[in-house]
Amino acid sequence: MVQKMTGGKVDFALIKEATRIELVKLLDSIPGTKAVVWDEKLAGAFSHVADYAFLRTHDVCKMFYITANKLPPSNVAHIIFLARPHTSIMDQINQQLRMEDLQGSTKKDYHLWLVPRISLLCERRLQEHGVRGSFTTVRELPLLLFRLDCDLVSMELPLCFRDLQLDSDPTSVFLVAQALMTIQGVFGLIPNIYGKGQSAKQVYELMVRMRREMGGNEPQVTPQIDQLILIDRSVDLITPLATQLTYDGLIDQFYGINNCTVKLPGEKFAQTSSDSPPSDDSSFMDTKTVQLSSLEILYAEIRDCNFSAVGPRLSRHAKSVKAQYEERHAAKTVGELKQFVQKIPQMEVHKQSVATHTTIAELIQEQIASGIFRPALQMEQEFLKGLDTDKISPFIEDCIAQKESLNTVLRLICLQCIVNSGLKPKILEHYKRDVIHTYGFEHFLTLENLEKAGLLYVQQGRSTYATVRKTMQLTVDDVSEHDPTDMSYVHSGYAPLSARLVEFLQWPGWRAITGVLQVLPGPTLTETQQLPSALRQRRGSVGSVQSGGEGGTALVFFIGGCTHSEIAALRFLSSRVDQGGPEYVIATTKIINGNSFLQYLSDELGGE
Amino acid sequence: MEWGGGINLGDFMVAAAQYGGPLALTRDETKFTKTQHAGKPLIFIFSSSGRKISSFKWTSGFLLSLGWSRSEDLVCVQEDGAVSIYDMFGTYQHTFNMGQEVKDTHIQSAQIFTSHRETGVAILSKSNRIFMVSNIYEPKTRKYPDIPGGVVECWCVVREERHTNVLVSQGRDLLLLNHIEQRPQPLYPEWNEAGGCIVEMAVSTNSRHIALLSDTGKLWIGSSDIRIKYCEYDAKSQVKPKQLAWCGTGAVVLLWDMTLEVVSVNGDATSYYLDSTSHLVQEADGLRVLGSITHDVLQKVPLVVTETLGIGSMAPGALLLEAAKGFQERSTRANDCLGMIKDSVEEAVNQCLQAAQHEYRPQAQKMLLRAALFGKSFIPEMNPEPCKKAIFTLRVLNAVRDYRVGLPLTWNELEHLTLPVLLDRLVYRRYFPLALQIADFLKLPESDGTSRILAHWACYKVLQPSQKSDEQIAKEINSKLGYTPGISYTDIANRADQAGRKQLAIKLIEYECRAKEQVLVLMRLGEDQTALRRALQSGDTDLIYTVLHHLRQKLSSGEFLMLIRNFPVAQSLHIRSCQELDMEQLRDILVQEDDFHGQGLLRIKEAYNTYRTDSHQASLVGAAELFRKAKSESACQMTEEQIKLNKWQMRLEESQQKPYAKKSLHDTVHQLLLDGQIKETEKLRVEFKIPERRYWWLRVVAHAQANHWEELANFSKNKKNPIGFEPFVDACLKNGNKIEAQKYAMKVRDENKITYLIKCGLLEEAVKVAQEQRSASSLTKVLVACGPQHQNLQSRIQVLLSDSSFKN
Repeated sequence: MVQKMTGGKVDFALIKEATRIELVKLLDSIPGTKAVVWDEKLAGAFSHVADYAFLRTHDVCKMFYITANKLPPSNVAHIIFLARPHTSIMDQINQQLRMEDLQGSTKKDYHLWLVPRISLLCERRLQEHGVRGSFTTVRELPLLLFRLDCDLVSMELPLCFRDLQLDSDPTSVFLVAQALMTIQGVFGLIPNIYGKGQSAKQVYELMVRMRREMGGNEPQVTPQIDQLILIDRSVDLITPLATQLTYDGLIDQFYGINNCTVKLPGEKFAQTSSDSPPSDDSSFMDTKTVQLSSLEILYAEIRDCNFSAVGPRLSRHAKSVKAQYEERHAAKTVGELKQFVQKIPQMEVHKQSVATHTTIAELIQEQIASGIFRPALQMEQEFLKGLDTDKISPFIEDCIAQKESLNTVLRLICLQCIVNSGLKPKILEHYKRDVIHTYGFEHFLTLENLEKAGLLYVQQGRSTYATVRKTMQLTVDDVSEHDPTDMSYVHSGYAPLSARLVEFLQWPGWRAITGVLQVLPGPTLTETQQLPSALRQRRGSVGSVQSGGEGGTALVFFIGGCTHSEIAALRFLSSRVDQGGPEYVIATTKIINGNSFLQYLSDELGGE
Repeated sequence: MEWGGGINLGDFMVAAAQYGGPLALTRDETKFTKTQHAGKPLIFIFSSSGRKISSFKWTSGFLLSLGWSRSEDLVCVQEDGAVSIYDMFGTYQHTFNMGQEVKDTHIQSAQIFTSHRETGVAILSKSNRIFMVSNIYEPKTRKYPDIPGGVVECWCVVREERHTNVLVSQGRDLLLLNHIEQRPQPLYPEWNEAGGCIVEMAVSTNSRHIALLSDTGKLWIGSSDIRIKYCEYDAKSQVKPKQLAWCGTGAVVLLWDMTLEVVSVNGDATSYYLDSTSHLVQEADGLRVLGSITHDVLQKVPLVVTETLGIGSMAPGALLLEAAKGFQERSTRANDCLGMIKDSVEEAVNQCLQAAQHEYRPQAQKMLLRAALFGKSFIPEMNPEPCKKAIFTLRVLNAVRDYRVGLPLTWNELEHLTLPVLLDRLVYRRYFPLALQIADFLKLPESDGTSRILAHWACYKVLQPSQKSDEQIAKEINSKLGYTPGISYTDIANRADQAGRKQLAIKLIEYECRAKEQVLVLMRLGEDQTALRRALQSGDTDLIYTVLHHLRQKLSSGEFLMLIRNFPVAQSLHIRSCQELDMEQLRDILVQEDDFHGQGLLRIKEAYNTYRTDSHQASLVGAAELFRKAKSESACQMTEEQIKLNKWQMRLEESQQKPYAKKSLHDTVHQLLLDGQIKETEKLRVEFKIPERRYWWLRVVAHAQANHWEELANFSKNKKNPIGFEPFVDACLKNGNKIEAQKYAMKVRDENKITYLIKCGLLEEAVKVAQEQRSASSLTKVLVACGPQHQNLQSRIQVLLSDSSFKN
């Protein structure tokens, strides 16, 4: 189960590199000193592509933010506004520009770079403000995909699912299609496309359109990805609601992983870092930021493990650290001693890594033991097994009566609703009333949203979950958490439906599960893209995919977000390449979990 | 010449474009006596082969000079300094003026010259001043230094690097005018015998060489800066020749009426006699002699051709040619000749290829190419590209040299012009099929070749009047063009629109596959609905918003809303933007759509956007009403309950003097319980039909939290307990009262009893219960919970466990 640290055949580092090249092209198109005025929301994501040091090597000497205040004076030749294409941001830029005018500062060139694309609407807005002419250039920087790992990219569009379901706003579908065109630009045309769900179909149709728009200007790249599997989140609403039990999944659920970093309560860490002097600035110890990188061997090993397997692995590593230190006693000669000393820095890193993750594991253990985590998990697993889903659950009632966290309550209700293919009107009413009575009328809109998003609804017709569960083997009773043989270990007994769909596509093929596909919402997509003839001939020879007798590479794209458990499940499938399956790489609009998923859908009245 | 023999060039003012371009003819007014009603002159335009392309009536002032620009536009200079540009089809392009001074003084003579990239016009005004526009497409008049008074015999424009100088011959002086100097610089060409003034000058096409002819018939040939003299030749004629021109760079040609004298730069001369009055056209590598019946190319025979085809030549090329011929005749000569060039086959092949390139007869070309290929077969490693290129290019050259096309280009000229430009020229002359064939034949990339030609064709097509309907034309164009990469239907549609054919433009833009372009054109054409539809199909929301924005500005609010309701995605996007910016507009939409539920939700949002209790309540009442209309019963019911709760809370706030607003029902009850207001809570329970289960929980938790142990105990005695006693124990323990907890522990349901007893620290009792249940696992549980102070108990459990009658 140890993941490779460098990418397989398809490494998303190339995407990052491609964006960087675009950025450099843009930067170098403007000779002279530059100041960048950032859209605050972009600055964070941008660090994935280029840091300040990098920008400085390209003559960027000042950084500001787009705000309502006037720009600090600077003596640069060019000022670059780097912004998302939103009209409200254009309004702010307009103000800042006007204040610059008033100041009558020395002649500067202004540039506007929009991420990820030029927007006509924004240009018109600037025209209306009468400042469009102030910009020497308006360019776009197609930054759509953020590399989180060599096999994982995210578009960082948290509201994708909400936009699609609640506001029928297809912007993200368009962006996904564009992102896929970017991917195809780097890794070549993807010959086989499968998909399930409405937005999967829309994305495919837009891809066809965009390809036609490109005309003959398609990049001539030998295809490196054989399959694209588009999964609309609304096809599998169960998985985001289920509790993830992998190490990554739990960290995300309890503390939230953002851009591969997690902020943890600091006091636990204070003791472990013994080498650092006792800190006077205790305020800094409130939170500790930990970078989660697959370059860290230990983390790469445990991140996708079921949490119950994390402990033993950690202790094994701890022992090996100790054993390594013990080696110094064995070192007799000066040469041996030198060898040992050389290993010390590496050992220190490893030791630190073991310490950090042991602390994180302790924190998680505490969270699991406290509150209603365990009973809620038990309830959830009963639902997933299809037990008593058609009755009001006393457990949920008690949770509401004790005013447990609303998120947990809503998660369980939605889960019950979905596995039951809707709730009886009376039960639904009862739950809704309970929630409003206990948590307040402020959550009225949230409930409305959940209904609109298809997470809460009145039962119509018979429940189909039983069939799906059986055919897709969604629940597995005797799964080994320590040495898994099936992906269902990620939820200790439940296999994510989305990942199962991917698994079944490879074997026995979607034709074998037509019954299930009919039951799941949205159309099923099985398409092929004709490769340009020049590339088709070469396919047999260079770098190609099916020819090597391997399963090739498949890109799974989650439209509407995916969970860490799904990522773990797909990586688990990848680890079995020897069984003839493809290696999977994953793209998503955002990494989600049960909390964030519902959070994105909520609208608390009178909040703010 | 296709124009037949009826034209006497002597009567005409002739202008011919370089690179085998078109000819323009107009009656030379100076050669005819003016009649009273001489009609306006006609200007005829012919191809190089004399095929008429167009003619048009010259309606402006006195036409002084004609010429062609590099891009084959006709440049007409009028006496008053107005310069008009026409294309070769006689279509007027634009006019510019050489400036007020010129207009006032009029022009003596004008010269149209081509500099490195552009075409310029230089004029000599009647006031002896030189003015120049160096690019007719960006006219900017520049004045040259003044020339002293007196008759100007002749003058010419000389390019020097990037400057344009003018040489003027005045009397016995030769003056150089340029920008740098304030006044003219006199130049002194070195004549064998001084005296005589220069009456004619000619500059070679590359501007490096110049020929000066004096009134004594002496011809001076040298470098264009007059510093180096190549030779001097005596034409032995006092008669001024009609034309003096360079043939490439190697010779100067003098043309009298029917005689042509060619003088090489070494001073050798030859004469030819012509059949008709002719006109000379100077080309970069030769000279075209345009006569009434024929059109000849005069060129120095390239060395390689003489070497290869010269009689008795022993050059490798010639021998290879001989060998190839011998091979065809199956003669041993082939072997003999090959043997002689054993070591220089490659050179021979190249010579044959080059010779073929300069040959004009296909027969000779074939012969030479065959020889080259024959030779090449002996050197397998030789790069095939030159051969290929020669063969392909010659085929193209032969095709365009055909009299039906009439583009007499030499190989070198084509090299200089490049193929894409040649294709452009063919397209410009509307030889679309030939251009397409050439593009296909040469396998040019589609964007350079086929699609560009087709796009031009389509643009031409839309301008042609036709009987066919717009739909048919659009279809026809599409069937030819398809979706060839690089074709821009936008351009074609724009062209159609410019030509006033809006409907055709609309039909054409339908075929554009780049959504952005398509939508923008459609909006400009006023086809807003189609624009919206296309924007929607593209999935590009930015584009959709742009169309919506445009529509909102154009239409009244009502019209706009009616329009977008036919487009659900557009409507939802509009609603979306309204949610952020314009609530009133949003309400209008919902009202229009009879969406009562939506209106209700909007009212609820409003209720929470206000801080005033009364308007909050009013909004909720409105919302409930709307929900009822929408038959959203549960929403209606919940809203009404909330209204009721608000009322209760207001009443409670008055009676209790405590804030209750914004509390949920749960929290309200909880607060009341903490305050011991059990009566009030009972009322609320009844009023809001709080289910028993929840109510019990509420009470247990609240009583325990408030340390109302007695109250809790009384409550526990209620017979209809729906939640069991576990919550009682938990609540007591949570608030740190173990004693109270113990009271309820024994009442816990059997299956949880052991756990709860242990929780309360009642280990003895736990053992007892376990004993009764005869459960070994329960006993083990207790054993685990035992601490050091429970040693007795521990040993008792051990004993019990050894009793095998206990179940596991």
